[in-house]
This record gives sequence, C-alpha cells and structure tokens, in this order.
Amino acid sequence: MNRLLAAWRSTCAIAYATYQEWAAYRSHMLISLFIGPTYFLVQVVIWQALLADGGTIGGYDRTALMSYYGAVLIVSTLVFDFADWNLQMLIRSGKFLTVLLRPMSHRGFALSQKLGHRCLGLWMEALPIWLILWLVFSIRLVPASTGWFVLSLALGFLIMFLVNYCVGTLAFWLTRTAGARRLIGFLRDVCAGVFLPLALFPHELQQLLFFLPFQFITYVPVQVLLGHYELAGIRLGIPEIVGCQALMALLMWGLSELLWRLGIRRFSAAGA
Amino acid sequence: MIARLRDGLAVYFCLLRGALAARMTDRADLGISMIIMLLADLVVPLTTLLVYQHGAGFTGWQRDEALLLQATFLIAKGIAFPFCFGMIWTTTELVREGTFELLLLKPRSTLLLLLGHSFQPEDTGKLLGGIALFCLALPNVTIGADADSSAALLGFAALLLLAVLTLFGFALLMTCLSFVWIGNSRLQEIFDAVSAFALYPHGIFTRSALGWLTWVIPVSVLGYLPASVLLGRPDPALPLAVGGALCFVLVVIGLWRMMLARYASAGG
Repeated sequence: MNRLLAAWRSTCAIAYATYQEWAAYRSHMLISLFIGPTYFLVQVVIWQALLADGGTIGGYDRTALMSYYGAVLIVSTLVFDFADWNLQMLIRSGKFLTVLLRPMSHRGFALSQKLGHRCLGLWMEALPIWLILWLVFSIRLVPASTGWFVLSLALGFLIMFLVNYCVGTLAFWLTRTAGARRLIGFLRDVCAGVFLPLALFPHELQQLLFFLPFQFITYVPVQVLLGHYELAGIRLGIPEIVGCQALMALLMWGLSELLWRLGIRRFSAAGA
Repeated sequence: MIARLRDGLAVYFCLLRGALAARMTDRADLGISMIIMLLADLVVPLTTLLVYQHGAGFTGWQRDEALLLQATFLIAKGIAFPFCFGMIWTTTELVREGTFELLLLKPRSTLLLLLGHSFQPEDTGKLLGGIALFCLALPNVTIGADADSSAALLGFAALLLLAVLTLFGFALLMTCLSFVWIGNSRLQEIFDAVSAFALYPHGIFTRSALGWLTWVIPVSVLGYLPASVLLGRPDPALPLAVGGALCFVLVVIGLWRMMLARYASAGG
C-alpha cells in the first residue's frame, strides 16, 4: 500500500514538473488551435461537396461524418504521444544510462510525463477545439455516456503510450529509428481511423483491424463518444468494447515489458 | 555575373553532396523514410479512390482527373520538399541554439548555404509517389481536351515550375517565422494544414474561399491550376492567380531580407 502511495506521489510530481515545463512553450501547443480546425474545415468542404445530394457513404451521411471527424480531432488531441521519440533519443544519445540509475521504471516515468503533458493539452488544445467545433461548425460533441467515454479515453491514452513505447524500444536494436517510427506511426494512424472511418475500409481489412491494437487508440473512444460501436460487421455494446480495450491494454503492457527486457540486455551505454 | 553564379552553384552542390553523404550513413533508415514519405502522401489519393468506389465524387471531375490533380501537387511537393523545406527545421534549430551566426559569417549567400545544408533526400519519396500516381491517371484522361495537347503540356510544365517556386516561398515564409517563434518545431504543420486545400478541385469551395486560396494564400497554383490547364479547361482566374503567386514569392523574399537584417542572435 505504501509503495502504491509513493508511486502515485512520484507520478503526480513528475506530471506536474512536465506540465510546468511545457507551459513555458504555450505557443507550441496553441498552433493546434489553427491546425486542427483547418484540417477539419478541409473535411467539411470535401464531404459537403461529395455528399451534397444527401447521400451516404459506408453508412455515414454528412452529419455523421462531421461528428466522426470532430470526435477524432478531440480524441487524437487527448491521446497524443511522443514516447517513442523520447526513448530512442535517450538510447541513441547515451543519456539512457542516467535513466537506469533512477529508483523508478522508465516506463512509469515516461507515462507520468505524458500525463502532465496531456493535462496541459486538455485545456490548451482539446477544450478550445471542442468550443470551436461547437461555435463555428455547430458540432456539439457530448458523450453518449460520460463515464464509459472517460474510461475508454483513458485506455486509448494508455494503449497509444504503450504502442509508442514498444516502437521506441526499437532503438535498442537499430542505430537510427526515425524511418521505422514514421512508418509505424503512419500505419497506426491509418489503422486507428484517423484519416478515414474504419467502416469505409474493405471488409477483410476491417476483420484484421479488429484484432490489432490500433483501433483501440482512436476509433473505439470515438465510437464510445458517439454511442455505438461496429467494425467488420461485429456490433458490440459499449461495456463490451471497453472491456476488449482493457484486455488490449494489458496485452500491450506485457509486450512492452517483454521488449524492454530483451532490449535492455543489448544496451551498453554511449552507442547502445 | 556568370562567374558568381558558377561559384554559387559549386558551393551549393558541394553542400548537397555533404548532406547526402551524411544521410547515407544510415541507408536503411533513409530507405524506410523514403517509403513513408511516399505512403503518407498517398493517403488522400487512396481516400479519393475509396470515395469514387462508393459512388460519390467531385462534380465535374472524373476519378482519374481528380487523381491527376492530386498527383500534380505531389510532384511539385516532391521537387520542392527535398531542396527547400529542410531549411525550416535547420533554421529553427540554429536560431534556438544561437549558432545561426556561423552561417552569417560565411562569405556566401545565407539562403544558399541554408538550402545546401538542409537537403532532405528522403523527401524524394514524395516525388516517386507523385510520378507513379500521375502515370496511373494520365492514360485515362484527355490531355488538352479540344485544344492543342502540346500547348497544354507546355502550360502544365510552366505552371508546375510556378508551383515549385510557390512552395519555395512557403518554405521561406516558415523559415522567417522561425526567427520570431523561437524553437517552435511545429511551423511546417501550419503549411501542411493550409496546403491540404490544394488537393481538391475548385468547384467544392465557396466564392470567398476561392478568393483566399487564389490571391491571398496561393494554394490553387500548387495543384488545381496546372492540372486544369493539362486537362484543357484553364480556370478564368489563371492570370490573376499566377500574378498572385509571383507577388507572394517576391514579398516573402523581401520578408526574408528584413528578418536577416533584424536578426539579433540568441532569440532573434
């Protein structure tokens, strides 16, 4: 119990320090208020033109698509992460050695950092974007069930971190991971439904995506927010899909632990 | 004059070789990066394919015509990005570290040195993607429509050149911003967001949006205008758009000179 309490205190302290550190670079985050709504505006214009006659595409009409992209914008802002970049930078530069000397696991440390970073992102990026969507585009995103959405979002946040952390551990084996990280990051976003709703993908691909961790990062929280879930013809209730999400988070935790243990054996400081 | 030009080119190619050699030390990473550059820019064309497959589409534009427009933008990006866009990140880092002065001390044009130092070979992946898409779409469209096809091709080439020049203007504008917005690594994202409008035909935009995209932020020259000339249906706003794009580049060059003159080290 005491250990748990101490870990929680460390988490809060690291999260707060990260929050303060990033608060010094507010303009860095404020750019999101321009970029996010601009991309959204592009989607509005495109789908307005494509579905001008009131048609549907993959079961989505224009309003449903706008709600989907609005929800994607909010969810991807909240789960945003760059743990992969951080970890590979530490390994590549040799600074990772100092991390090993700390009385805390690096994964816990990095997760705490992400928590602080996204707490700042919540009110500096997500809330203003939510307001812009409501006031400018008349899209008022209210979760169908707030409790389930918060839980799903927290799990999406964790899975995003763990996927990225696994990618970051590639630096134990590769000298330079920029290309691999970009490639995996791109596939992650495609498979998470960031660019296009997964329902528009070919059926066989949807079946494959159901078993991969990526849909649980963005697509599932978005569907939970919107109040229904379906992929590859599999229709699940909200508690069921959030349960699957929790299972995936556990699996990813195990995978990150395995990769960490294998990778740490290869680390020899100053050049990994 | 010719001697100076030759000297400048010699310096530029020397820097280019250096940048390429440095990047070649991690060949596997370079290869993967090129693939990702190719794939990332093919998302929109793939979306277009999916949309047309589902029976929807942009009014007045056949599937392959829409793909041709997007391929044109990718080709322009594929030429401009490797040679110009690296300077945004380079300048951001140099200004943040306070080492930009080292470039200013050298007896050559700062812009030339920056461009040479910042060559990004992985971005040629965009060019490969653009060319592949262009080759895929071209056989299924009518070049020049009723007009002379060679004239359409010439017009297309000239406008593609203008698109590359305009992209250089955008890169230089972002570089200028890095003097004011110290250490902001997200400057290029601003361009990425704005240029997303360049991937679609003009018919989908409102009149006021068209005005903005043609004369204020010259995005239409990046894809739509060259493609529409190639398809033999040039936009009536073409001459004004060309003028707007040239003005944009000139204004940005003026801004660059002003920023260099105002640069006061360690924080701009």
